[in-house]
Amino acid sequence: MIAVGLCRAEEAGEFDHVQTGPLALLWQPDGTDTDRLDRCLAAQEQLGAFLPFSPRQAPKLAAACDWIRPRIAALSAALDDLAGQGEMLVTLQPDTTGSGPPSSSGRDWLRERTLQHARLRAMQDCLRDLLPGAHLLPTSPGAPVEATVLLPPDLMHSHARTLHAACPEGVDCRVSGPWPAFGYAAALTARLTEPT
Amino acid sequence: MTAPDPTQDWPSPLAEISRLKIDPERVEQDMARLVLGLMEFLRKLMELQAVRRMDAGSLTPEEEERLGLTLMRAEEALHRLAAQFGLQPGDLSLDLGPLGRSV
Repeated sequence: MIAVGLCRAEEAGEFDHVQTGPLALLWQPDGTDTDRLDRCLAAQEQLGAFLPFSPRQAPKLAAACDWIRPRIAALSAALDDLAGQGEMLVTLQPDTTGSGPPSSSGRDWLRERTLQHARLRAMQDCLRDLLPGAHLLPTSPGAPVEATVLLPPDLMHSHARTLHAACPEGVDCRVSGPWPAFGYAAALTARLTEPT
Repeated sequence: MTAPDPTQDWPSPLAEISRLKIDPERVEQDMARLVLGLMEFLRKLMELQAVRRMDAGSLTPEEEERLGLTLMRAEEALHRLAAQFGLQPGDLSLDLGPLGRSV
C-alpha cells in the first residue's frame, strides 16, 4: 500500500485511510504515478485541506506512518495553512530563438554558458518580483524557471492574467493550477526531515 | 492555463525511507548513475567557477578558450559515457534526500 497524502481525520470520509491522532493518512494499492496523481487531484478537490506526497516518489504506508507520528503538530499546522488553497505553478522560459548554432570553440561555449547563467538569474529575479513569497523550484541554466504559490482556486485566473500582463517581453509565461500543494509539501517534508 | 508534466519529480525526502537505491537486477546502471552523477556534480562546480571568473573579467582570451574547451569536452564525454549505460543527462541529477538534488 502506498501513501498519497494527509488530511484531517474528520474529513477523510470515503477515502481509504489510516488515522494517526488528528490526521488521516490516505493510501491506495500499488499503482502507477498517474493513479496516484488522480487520487491526489480527487483529494484536493473534495477535501478542505490536503497535503500530498509526490506521486512519483510516494512512500510506503508503514514508512509514512512512522514518519508522521513524531511530526503531528507541524503537519496539523501545515493543513491549517493549506485550508481552502490550491497551488499555482508558474513557468518562465526565455525566448532563445535567436541563439546561434552549437559552439565549436571553447571560448564561444563558455560565453554561451555564462549567458545562460545570467538568463537564469534574471528569470529567478523576475519571478521573485512577480510573485513575492513564491517557492522557486530547483532548475539549471537553459531550463525553464518554475515557482509555486498557494492561492484560493477562485483567484487563480485573475492572478494568471496579472502575471501574463506583467511578464517582460521575450519571456514565455505559462501558468497552471489549482494543483495539490506538491511544491509546498516538498519544501515542508524537506524541512521536517532535516538531519540533526 | 496549461497542464504541467503530471509525473513531475517533486523532491521528496520522505521517499528516501522506502526507496532502494541499487537494484540487484541493474547494478551496473545504478552504479554508473551514482559515479557519473558525482562527476557531473564536480563538473558543474567547475563550470560555475569558470562563469564567475568570466563575469569578473579575470580570464585572458587564452584561458577562456582552454577552460571552455575543457568543460565542453568533459560534458560531452560524461554524456557519452552515460548513454553507454542507457542514461540521459537528467538521470545524473542525484536525489540527496533532505539536501535536495546534486545538480
